[in-house]
Amino acid sequence: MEPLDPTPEPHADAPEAECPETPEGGDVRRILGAVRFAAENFLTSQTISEHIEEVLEELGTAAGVSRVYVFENELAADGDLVTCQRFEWAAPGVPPQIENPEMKRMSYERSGLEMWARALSQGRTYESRLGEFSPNELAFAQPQGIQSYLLVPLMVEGSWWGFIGFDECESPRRWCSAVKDALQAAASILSAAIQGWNARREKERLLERQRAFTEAAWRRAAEWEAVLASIVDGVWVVDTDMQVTFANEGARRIFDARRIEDLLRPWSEYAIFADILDASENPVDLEEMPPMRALQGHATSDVGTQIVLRSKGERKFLGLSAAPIRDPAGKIVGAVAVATDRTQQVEFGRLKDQFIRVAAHELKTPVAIMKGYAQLALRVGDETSPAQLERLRAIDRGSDRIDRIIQDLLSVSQVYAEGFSLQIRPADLRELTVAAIGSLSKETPDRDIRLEAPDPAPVQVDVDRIEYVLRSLLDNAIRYSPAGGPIEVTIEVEPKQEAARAGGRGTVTVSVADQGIGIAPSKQAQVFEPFFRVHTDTPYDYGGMGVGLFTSREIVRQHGGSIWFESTEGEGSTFYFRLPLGDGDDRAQGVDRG
Amino acid sequence: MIVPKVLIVDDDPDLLALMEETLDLEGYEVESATNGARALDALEKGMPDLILLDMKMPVMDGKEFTRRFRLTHDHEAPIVVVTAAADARKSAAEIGANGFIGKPFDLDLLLDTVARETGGASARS
Repeated sequence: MEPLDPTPEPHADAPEAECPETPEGGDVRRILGAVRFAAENFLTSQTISEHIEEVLEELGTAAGVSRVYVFENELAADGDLVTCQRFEWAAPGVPPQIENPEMKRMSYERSGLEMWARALSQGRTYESRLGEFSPNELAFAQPQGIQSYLLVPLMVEGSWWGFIGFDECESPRRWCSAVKDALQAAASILSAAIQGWNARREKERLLERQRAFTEAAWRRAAEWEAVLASIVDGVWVVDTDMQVTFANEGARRIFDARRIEDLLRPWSEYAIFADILDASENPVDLEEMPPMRALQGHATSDVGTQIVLRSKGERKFLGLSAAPIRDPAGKIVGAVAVATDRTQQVEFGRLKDQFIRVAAHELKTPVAIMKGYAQLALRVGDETSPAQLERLRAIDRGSDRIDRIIQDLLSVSQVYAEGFSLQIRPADLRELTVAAIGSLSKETPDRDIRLEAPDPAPVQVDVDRIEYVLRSLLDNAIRYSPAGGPIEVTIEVEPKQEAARAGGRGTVTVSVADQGIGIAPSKQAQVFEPFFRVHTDTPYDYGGMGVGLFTSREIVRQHGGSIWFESTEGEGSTFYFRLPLGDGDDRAQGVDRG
Repeated sequence: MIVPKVLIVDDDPDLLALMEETLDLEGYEVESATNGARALDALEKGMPDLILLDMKMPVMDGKEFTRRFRLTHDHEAPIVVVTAAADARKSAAEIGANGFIGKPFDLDLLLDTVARETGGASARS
């Protein structure tokens, strides 16, 4: 037994003790045995808590101590370093301290144990014994019955993780260097094991995070797949080699392909599914279609396209849009195309047009009967009272107004047929005007319609629709100059070189002037509104739907032109419309009317 | 004085009656048929001086009537098409008619046309 050292030194390292061959030599062998046990267990266990208590028991028994414990450091929120008891082995008969609330979380500084921190944080052991205890040490050692103790730091990845401590409750034992070395070996094994467990835990955490990310990514992809699968429109993605890399269920439906995979081929091969036509039913160059133009950087929207399926001969009307796909640097890496199936709308529109046409047609005979009998009754009305004759005249006029509406229905339904898509051809506006004047003159032979048009006027127009405009203006001029007077039509051509407006494009302007009742200033602003009729409820009310000028303006604007008028009430009106000049094609087509 | 004879072909009974009565009052002799087939039958009774022809009729329409009429008769009476205005012009051209009247029509226009096509003199002068 070692004599007590009478001079207490409150240092971390006590003077070296002699290491007799026995029993300390036996201690060292036993401790090294425990170290080997620790190594075998720690380095194979998955977590720190597996086997630790067995190891601490083995170590404690081998070292012949009363208690072995492991403390882990923690940085509190206020920056204070604290240490927490994690594991403990107590020899039989020695009260364990694991439930001691003071041991649960101890601040080095506040408990007055900074000397522990000073030594341990630099990788040195700390030991003390009864007689050398500081007042703070005594304060915690005495209740626990500690007579001497040794703390060995646990360094994990170069930083101070905590310590393993050994309490001696039977005597104020001094630890000899060999024993301390052996215990330090045990501490090293424990540190290495802690490092390994930390690494494993970190790896698991990373794997878990990776799993979560992958799951989220899959979920997001599944959501998008569901969205794309359920939307009605067809969606394609094309790469820079014009190869289709993605197509959705909507796309498969549109082209009536058996499987979506069949659609994943070069865009140029799509002709195997259908004839692809433009809005005017001409075969379209697949290289000029929206997806290809998108690859060149031009986004397009709702380009009218028709396809005729090879599988069933079914015709579909599509609106095709496409936009480029760019990488973060702005380089084009592909294109996305969307096709909206408008077949139902187009067919419904056609049905509606047909409905209007058939209805208007069917109305003509009953109106003819009404008008005819009213006039017949007027003819044979020698014995009819003047009042009765007036009623009959009212019926006659009423039937004329119905007739005007029928005419409007028929001509408007034709103008708006096919959703107002223009069929542009080269034509001579002068010839079209001559023809329109000719046909109106036949209908109203007593009116004098004069034309001044010295030059030919080549244009690119939808002939039927421009005819509608000419007829509307001429018709109005005739109707709203009931007192007669000439109707003067002029055509003025301003060639490209002399045109100062609209970027120097040539223009042709047609004017129709009458000497009739004119339009009141208060009504002039509304003249082009749909369903607006200037002369409602006046003696000049000729019926109709009031769509002629609105529709004419739509047509002129669609041709890139403009329409306007000048009018003085009581003196007459002049209506003008201007169109861009065509490219001087001398082989312009006139109107062919049998 | 020979009374000009007009054959009116129209499937609508009211319109037919209207035209019959109008022409009858003017002194014309009037024959009527409600479709192309009956019109061909009516021709058996003798060639009229003018045929007023509706285009859309059941059993046999105006176009078919004209075709057969021209096949089976050498002396051809003039035909004036009486039908909806949008079609009238085109239909008249298609069958080589002498003229057309669009529905609805003024009675004056009807009478002037009949007078013109039957030789310029109405029955009542």
